[in-house]
Amino acid sequence: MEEIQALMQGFSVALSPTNIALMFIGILLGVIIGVLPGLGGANGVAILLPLTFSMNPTSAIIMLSCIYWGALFGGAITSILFNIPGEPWSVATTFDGYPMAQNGQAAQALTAAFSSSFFGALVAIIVITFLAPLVAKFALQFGPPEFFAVQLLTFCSFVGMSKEPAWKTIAAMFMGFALATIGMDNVTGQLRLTFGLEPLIKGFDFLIAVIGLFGIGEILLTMEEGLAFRGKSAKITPAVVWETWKTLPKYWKSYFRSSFIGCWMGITPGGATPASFMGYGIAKRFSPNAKNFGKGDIEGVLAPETAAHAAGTSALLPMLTLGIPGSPTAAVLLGGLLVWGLQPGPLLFVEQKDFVWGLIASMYLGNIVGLIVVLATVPWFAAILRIPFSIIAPVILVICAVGAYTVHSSMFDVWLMMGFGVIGYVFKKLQYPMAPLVLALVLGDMAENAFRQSLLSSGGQMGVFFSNPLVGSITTLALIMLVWPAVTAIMARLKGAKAA
Amino acid sequence: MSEPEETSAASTRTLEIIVALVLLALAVLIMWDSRRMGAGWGASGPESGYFPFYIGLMMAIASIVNLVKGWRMSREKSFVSSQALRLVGAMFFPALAFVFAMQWLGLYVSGAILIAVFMRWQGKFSYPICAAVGVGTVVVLFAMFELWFKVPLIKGPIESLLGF
Repeated sequence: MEEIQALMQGFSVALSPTNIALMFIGILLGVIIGVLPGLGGANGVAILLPLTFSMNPTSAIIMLSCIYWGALFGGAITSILFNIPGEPWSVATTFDGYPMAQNGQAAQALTAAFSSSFFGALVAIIVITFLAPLVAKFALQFGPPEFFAVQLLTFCSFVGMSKEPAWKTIAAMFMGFALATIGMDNVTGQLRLTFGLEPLIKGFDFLIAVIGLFGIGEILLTMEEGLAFRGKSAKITPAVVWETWKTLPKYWKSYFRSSFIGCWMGITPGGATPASFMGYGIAKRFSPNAKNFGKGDIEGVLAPETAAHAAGTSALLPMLTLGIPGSPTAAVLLGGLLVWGLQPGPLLFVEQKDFVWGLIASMYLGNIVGLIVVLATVPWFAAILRIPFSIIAPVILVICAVGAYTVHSSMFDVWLMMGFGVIGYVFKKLQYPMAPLVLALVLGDMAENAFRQSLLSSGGQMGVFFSNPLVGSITTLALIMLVWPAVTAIMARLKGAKAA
Repeated sequence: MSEPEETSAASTRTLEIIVALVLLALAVLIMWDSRRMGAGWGASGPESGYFPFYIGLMMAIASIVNLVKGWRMSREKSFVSSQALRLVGAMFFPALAFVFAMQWLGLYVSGAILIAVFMRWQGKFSYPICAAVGVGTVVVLFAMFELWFKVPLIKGPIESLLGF
């Protein structure tokens, strides 16, 4: 098998002492980021991205992706011990994780959460290993209309799958597109939407938006809830881990359902958060102990964790093969590729074999390292959460400012970050989703170029997006996703009318 | 979530309407600027304003829908209570002052001051602890950014006195 051979080559790249050290550093930083409020996967990676500008791309992406895995693991710790989801995708983990901790089963809940995260990630990585090369090969035949159609599908999926109101998703998304158009038009060289303001000429950097929206916004939200954290302490002993592991295989059905949901939602960008809720909901529907869900059932911990990790990991598949990220963190990693001088897209698999397979191999290793690290160090991370928020809040704020400043060494960016912080706070409270805003900001230029090139080739005819079976079916699928919320709303109303 | 004795600083309805109006205004601005550049079909294909114009249009439509939905909301639901708003302000205004001070004092000095002052004010820690955490944090940042990764951050007069 060609993939296995390439993967082995990847392992030889990933297994250098430097890269293994970077994996450990990345995982540790990632768990801290995942545990602390105000620092999450996306903005944690965004803040640390400038540090990697001078590293070689493979080492850089290994470290940054390990931060991402660490953050995925870390979210579960706060959910279970403190009932505070460190990350949005661990909200569903609180439903049964926190009651388990209350019943004195914190260690079992944590072990189940970490092991399930690992399982979900592993399934997703196997999917990436075998599916990504095929998708990339297939995508090599794509022209601009196909690329635009895939992007359309990405954005329409947000509207179709988001749990936020559809019109707010659309408004937030187009705000992202609008921000992306600011600055120089790279086809005609005209200045757009700059209104004579000099700092706007180079455009908005999405890293600043990520740090402001997710970092500052989150700190403001946490402030609002008061400054007290009260939680359970946890100690995991090898005996508890072993006992818990023995009980896990009987939930194999839940594992496979959640992994499937996760991979599906990660590749078609629904994201980890809806995946974790779906994983929880479906496990509850099929479980014989559905009554115990919400009171501390271990299946209620493992189902959302498996789905969230499978989704978080498989979000890298479209990023690597098509240059279209499936989550905000994947978007930040994509930004990293551009900075390191790599062109994301299907050619990556042809031209940068060491990079791609080194990354995929590091995903296997990183998750094994991650599982060991979190199981061994959980008490320390729980201790971090006991640090009063009156210390953590200003420290995180300073770190965010550092992150924003280092992107272009510009004070204007730091002000911009504060502005995005306010937007993040208000948007979060009003249920305007931020992931589509960030993805639109990242992909705006690419989407516009693909759109323009398609129209150029067709002489302005929109029919180009239906000109062959491939592009036509992608476009149609996208449009179905777009109207999906309206269809379900109408169906619900019809059902309601029948019942009445 | 708000308890009965808490007073609402603003209703969710008000905020919904404000956000929808701001986005609508932005959308109109985008469409106007796109028309200025040419939102049609030029000699070399779609003009610069073609794509942004439709972005503005979609944003305008979505904002109008959100505006109508916001308008119909009940006035009861609180966006934020006065108490919570005060806490948010307690973080936000020091943060603004910090960014303002950064331009003259540099990131390290103003960062240390922000951390120490905020800890003293909100956390009621003793002065030595506040100073230690404030200075300690920026020393770690300095070591990591300036020395280890060689990424320079904005610096002020105190760093130049020390020879950096």
